[in-house]
Amino acid sequence: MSSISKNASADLEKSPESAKRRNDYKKLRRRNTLTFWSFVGPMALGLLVFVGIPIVWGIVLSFGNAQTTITPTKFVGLSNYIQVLSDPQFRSSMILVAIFAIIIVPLTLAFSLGLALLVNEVKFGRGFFRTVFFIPTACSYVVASAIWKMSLFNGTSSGFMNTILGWFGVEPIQWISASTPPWYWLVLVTVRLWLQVGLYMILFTAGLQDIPPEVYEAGRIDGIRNKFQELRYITLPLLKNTTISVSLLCLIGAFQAFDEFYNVLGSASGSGSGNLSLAMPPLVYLYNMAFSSQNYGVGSAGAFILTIVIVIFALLQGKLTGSKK
Amino acid sequence: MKLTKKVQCAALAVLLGLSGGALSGCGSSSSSDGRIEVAQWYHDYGEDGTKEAVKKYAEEFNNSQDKIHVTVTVVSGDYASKLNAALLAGNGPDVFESEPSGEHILAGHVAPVDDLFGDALSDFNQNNIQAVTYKDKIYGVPMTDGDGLLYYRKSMLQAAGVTPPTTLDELIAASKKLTTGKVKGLFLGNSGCTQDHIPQLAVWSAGNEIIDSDGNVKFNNDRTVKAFNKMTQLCTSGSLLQGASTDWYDATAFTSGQTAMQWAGQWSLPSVQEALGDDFGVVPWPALDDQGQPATWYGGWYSQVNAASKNIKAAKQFVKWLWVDNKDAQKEWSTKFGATAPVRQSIIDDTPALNKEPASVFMEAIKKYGHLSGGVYWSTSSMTALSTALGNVVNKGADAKTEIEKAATTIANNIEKTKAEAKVK
Amino acid sequence: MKNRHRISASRVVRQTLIYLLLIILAIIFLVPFYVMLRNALSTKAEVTSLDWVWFPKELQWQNFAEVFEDGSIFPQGLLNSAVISVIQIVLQLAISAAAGYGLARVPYRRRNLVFAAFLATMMVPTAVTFVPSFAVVSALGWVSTLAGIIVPGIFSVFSVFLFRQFFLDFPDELEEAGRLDGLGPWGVFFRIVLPNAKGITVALGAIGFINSWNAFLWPLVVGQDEHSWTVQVALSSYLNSYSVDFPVLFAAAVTSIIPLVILFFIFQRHIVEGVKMSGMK
Repeated sequence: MSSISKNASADLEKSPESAKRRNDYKKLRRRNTLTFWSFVGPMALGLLVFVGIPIVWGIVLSFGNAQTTITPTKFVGLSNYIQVLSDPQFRSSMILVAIFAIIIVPLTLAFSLGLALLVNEVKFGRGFFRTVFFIPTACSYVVASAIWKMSLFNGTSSGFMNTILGWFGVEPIQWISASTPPWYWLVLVTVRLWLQVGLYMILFTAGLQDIPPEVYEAGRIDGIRNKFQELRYITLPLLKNTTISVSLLCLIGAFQAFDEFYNVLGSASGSGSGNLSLAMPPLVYLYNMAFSSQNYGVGSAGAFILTIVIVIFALLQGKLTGSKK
Repeated sequence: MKLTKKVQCAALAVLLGLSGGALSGCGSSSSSDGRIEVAQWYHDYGEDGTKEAVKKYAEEFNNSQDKIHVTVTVVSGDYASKLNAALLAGNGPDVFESEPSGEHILAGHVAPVDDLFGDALSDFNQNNIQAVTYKDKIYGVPMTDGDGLLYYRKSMLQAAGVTPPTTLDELIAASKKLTTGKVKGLFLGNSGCTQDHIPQLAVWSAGNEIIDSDGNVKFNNDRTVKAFNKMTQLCTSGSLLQGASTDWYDATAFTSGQTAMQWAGQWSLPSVQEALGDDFGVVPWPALDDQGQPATWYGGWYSQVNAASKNIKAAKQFVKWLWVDNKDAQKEWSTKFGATAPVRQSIIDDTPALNKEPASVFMEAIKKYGHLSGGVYWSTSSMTALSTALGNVVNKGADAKTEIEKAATTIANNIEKTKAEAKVK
Repeated sequence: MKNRHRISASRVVRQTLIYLLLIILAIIFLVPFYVMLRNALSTKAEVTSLDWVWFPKELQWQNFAEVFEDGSIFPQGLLNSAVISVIQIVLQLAISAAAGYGLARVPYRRRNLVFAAFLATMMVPTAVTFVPSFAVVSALGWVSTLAGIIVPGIFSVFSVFLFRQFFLDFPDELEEAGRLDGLGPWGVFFRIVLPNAKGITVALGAIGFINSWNAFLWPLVVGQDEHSWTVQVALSSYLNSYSVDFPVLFAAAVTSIIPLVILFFIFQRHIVEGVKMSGMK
């Protein structure tokens, strides 16, 4: 009995119409898959080769004896990690970059938001002002470093800042090479601010423009009398997402600072000497470790440690600003 | 589908094209018709024309015979570290240049080259030969040398009624007197008293060596204490230029009038002459006092052959051709690019410019007052120990005697270690 | 009546103060450009003069000529930067537009998973990959080649994200029409969707060009031989070399920013739009 019905239903499933439908469906699925990968394939391949593989290889390097070679032959356990963590220069570079980030993130927020608000207030010339604040983007960190190092903050009286100090009878300050007080902080922070404030100002401007005027109307009805209250109770809260984005981008960028340190503090005798020992961020340390000393293992180990620290700080910042990503 | 394949093929072609061909720049030539390949490294001298010249010499050699092909690479940035790393890895260049240090020699990376000199040996400055000699074997062919002197502005000194200093006290006084308005009296470098050779000059000006030719420490005495204390006076006098845009190896601070005196190298002579004409003079680093001696450093660059080279014979042949036999190239090299001191007497005699002031002052100073900065037993770590000691005395007010003791001990230990670990016996 | 007058007066005062503040800030922001130009057009003596020289006595245009002299590293650097930047943005736009469209429009079961994976790579900071990326580039034999500088930089998840967003918002009807006309997915992509994506393409292209031109760490790492230096690496090397001709350095710097300034003024609106879009991260 059962065998007869089994055969019968099997026959039904094997009917030509449903077979064709199933085939068509499979063909469609396959074609879609091929189409999808024809569009997305190059990107996926690229990420695999240039992000995926490096991450894995980096792990391998960090656990191997990769000195002057990129193909380590021995597994050395945690010794690279221990070596980099016990190097006082690495440790101080981590502290330095953390301080740098703590200084620059709030300053960038303040300036870019401040500029966005100010420009929003005026009636005429908004475009002009926004252009002026944004055009430093056309300069690279190298160009800005050259200007800052050679002319603006030159340590002799031929420098711009020292000339201004001279008007007030103050002796020239060695902005870049003095270790006490550490004026180079001013130099390095202002480079980054000049270059990036305009960009973030635009983000805040967009955020500001997204606030519908009715909200301000409602605020006025509810008793908000002046600009400061408006700022505090309406504008800033509504800009929260933008603020979070800006601080996150700024933080991650600050931790990976390299260009301005390398160029402002660098000297002809190589990137490990001179003023760079005053303020060496992790990326400069890792660069030296990998490309001067050619120790790719320690360099990779240090890089992973830096990444972990970045993630921790980013999460901390998330907690502080109460973000929901 | 067809389109997809086309796109994919195109992408692949682009990538392959990028990796192989035209866009890889004018990369180094591959092995040409079965010749032995010899790779040579130079550091980036910075003087105009040096890159072209070294490539020209290699070209000349390549054209003069058909067994060996030399390729030159000028390495920019931290040459010393990169060379070191390459030698350690076993893939260093066959021929390279170094300043006189024992590092590579004692580690066994350098092949002895005694057999290359022949009769020409006596023509070379014996001090330079000594600088790369270890246990009676010569490990490099001197290329050029150079020293430093104190440049001073004649007009500024005249205006202030100051004569060129011959003792450290006179230097301190002169420096203070020459500091007027925005102009400073003396520029030693942006690191001041701890800049490069300055700590060495302090010891030498007292009449002592730092270490002798057998590696014994010789500066741990009261004379050095006195020298360090005098240096403290100099560097805390407020008359030193600081924070210049270029460091002491560039004469801009001096030629632009930011400072009345500058300790600078012989290589700056042409640019100073061009900028100031006659309005400058040069003197060696002043003696500590009447029991001391004026001083200057010399060092030079030496052409060396990689002991691990797969083509040692070919490499040595090239080095002999260029740095022993080819006196035209040697003369051009040591007289045409900036100013340096030729290491061969015959070339010196043949260059009238070197026998006139101010060049002659440099040449004389090397002979009369010159001390080798470097040498087989010297190392970066020892240099750092010495300059840290002086730095602590000058900047942190530490006791000179204690600091000198510490430095002497560190340096002695370094030398012990060096001797024990020497792979070349 | 009285109230209105008082409000106007204080508002005028406030506006004036704000304008004043903005003008001062604008001047401060423009000082570096002034310094750069002054240096480029001055003599060595004027630039190192202990008393600041506000304007050079004569404009020293020959500083610019020296930048392009024989033996100068800058002409090759500028050429390299140009080649690299153009190729990078063309390839980057092509790859990310295609990927964005695929992720937005092609039905595929694991589409979202792939997208999530892409996003995950954005979390990886350059710091952790630049050393092993060099290893990859080295293994491919691309050290000191333009390819080594170009290729790793053409995969921008950020661009993919924005393109995908854009294509998701793209009106279906146009695509439908195309399909009815018999176009396959690539046909729809090229003939219908892309031509209507000019705005975002230009924005991303301009931003990409700027980032490419100004990049420093990666070209420094890969471009170890002089002939593969970008203009930024050349500038940096010259800035920290043993002897620097001040004015010539700045003439080179001015030259290096000219392409970007031009780009900036032509595409400013697009660039601003692009930046605003990125805020939506």
